[in-house]
Amino acid sequence: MRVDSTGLPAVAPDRNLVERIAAGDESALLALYRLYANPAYSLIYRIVRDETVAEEVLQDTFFRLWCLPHSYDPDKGALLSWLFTVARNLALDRRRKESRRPLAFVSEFRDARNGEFAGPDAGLEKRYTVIEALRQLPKEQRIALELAYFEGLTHTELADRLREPVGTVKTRIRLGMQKLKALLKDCRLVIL
Amino acid sequence: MTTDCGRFADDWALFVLGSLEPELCRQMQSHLSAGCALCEARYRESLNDVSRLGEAAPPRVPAIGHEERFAARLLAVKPAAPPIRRREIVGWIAAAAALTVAVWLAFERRDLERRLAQAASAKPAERIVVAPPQVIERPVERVVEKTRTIDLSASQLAEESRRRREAEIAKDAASRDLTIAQARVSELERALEEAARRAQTASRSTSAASPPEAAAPAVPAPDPRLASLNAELERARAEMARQTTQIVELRRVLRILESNSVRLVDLRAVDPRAGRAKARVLFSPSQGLLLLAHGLPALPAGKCYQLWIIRKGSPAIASGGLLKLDVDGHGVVSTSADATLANATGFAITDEPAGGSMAAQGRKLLFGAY
Repeated sequence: MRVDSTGLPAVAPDRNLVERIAAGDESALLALYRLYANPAYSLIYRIVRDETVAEEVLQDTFFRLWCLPHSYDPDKGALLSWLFTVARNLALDRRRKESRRPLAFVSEFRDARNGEFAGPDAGLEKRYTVIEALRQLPKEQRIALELAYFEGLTHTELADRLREPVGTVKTRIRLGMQKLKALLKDCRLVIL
Repeated sequence: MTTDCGRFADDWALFVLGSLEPELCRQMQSHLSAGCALCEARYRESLNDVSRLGEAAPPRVPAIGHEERFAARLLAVKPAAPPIRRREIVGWIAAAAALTVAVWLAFERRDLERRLAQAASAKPAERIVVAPPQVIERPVERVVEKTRTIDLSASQLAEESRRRREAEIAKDAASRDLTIAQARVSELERALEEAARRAQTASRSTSAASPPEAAAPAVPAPDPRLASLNAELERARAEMARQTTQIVELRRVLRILESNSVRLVDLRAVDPRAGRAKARVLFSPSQGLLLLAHGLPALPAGKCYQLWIIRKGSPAIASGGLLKLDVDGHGVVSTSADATLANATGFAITDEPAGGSMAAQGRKLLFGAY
């Protein structure tokens, strides 16, 4: 498997795999699953917080590509972005159908890079970059972003939860996204 | 560019997050649908930016065997057909209904002919004979259970030789079962084809012979024999898929045992909480890893056992998978070849939160060095 400098799989094989999937090649879907199951599962689990449900949603995400291969257009963005979008939507739908689970924030995640053990996830380093970028945002912006993305809360729900006016919540999310984008683009991150 | 483009410029990230008010969302959606290239580009950019937040989710790995479960579902779903249009679905339903009616008519006609023949002479009518379902024995499971109960006190060479023999027996038994299942599927498919062919012939002859006013019987219920045949066929197919999966797994284990580079590492308890637990790892860098453990104490809810590969190189320690534990405290891990096995120098088992950890956090219970 080819990887880019950040450790994530190179983009070029995605196009080839998607073309093979569109042609009904099962082995291509399995290869893609092996490539992206872990990051997609991490996102889904973060939202649904149940292993069994998370695995079902993970399978549904990849079956969306299998059943509707043309819903992904390689010219319009990376496959991982598309997978994350589908996975998030399916996970949030599933979560809304079930009971609400306790909230948790990325900041609760313990940094394991300096530990003795390291996991097998190929794209882990890139993901740490995003986690560190989030940590460098002002706390209010980070919390608003995490609640909107991982919990799927609307502005009104966010305003209720944070006890702030809707306008303030919108501004926090907007500024948070802008700052996050700048941090990731300029690579001015200080990895702690 | 319209005034809307400026009005929406800052909101595309919020739109992608799905947290905007429904009315504003509708306006932005219709603006996009109108074909504004500038806003389409902004929307795409926001889509990519927002999706990067997904990378910030704390890393987790699915439960062991998830790939196999996904592959099994994929095989069950095949083929990857393009979306079926409503008209096609109606067509298929109509065809299925027509076939059912045809089969029913065929059976009715046969019955009528039989009665007529009985009335005319004493010769009995021909009947379709459906063979009773065969009971498929599965010695594979019993043999696999044997391989799990290892005796670590026996000499290593004798143990390995016994295990190889058992794996070969299991492989043969599984192949036999598969052949039986395949034969049963073929038999059922032939029976179905025959029934369909007769139904078609009967339908043609009935429509040709009957006067128009007599050709409008009430629509009958589907024939139960056809449904029963279909159900049996599905059961046989499921059994065949299960046997195939088992054979693949056994072949993988056999390849590890047969490999010239196979190595054996015994793991001993290094923590009083491990009790009298023992484990043995057979691994080949080119073929994979097999771990057999016994005597492991039951863990409280929310915990699981995880195998770790200790390596010379980076990463120094990598996950080898989660142990599937049975009621007797026997645990098995079987993985395919992986780069982390190349420089393995030892193995450890820890207790981790359910679902496993990316980095070991629990107590080191068993350990063995190569």
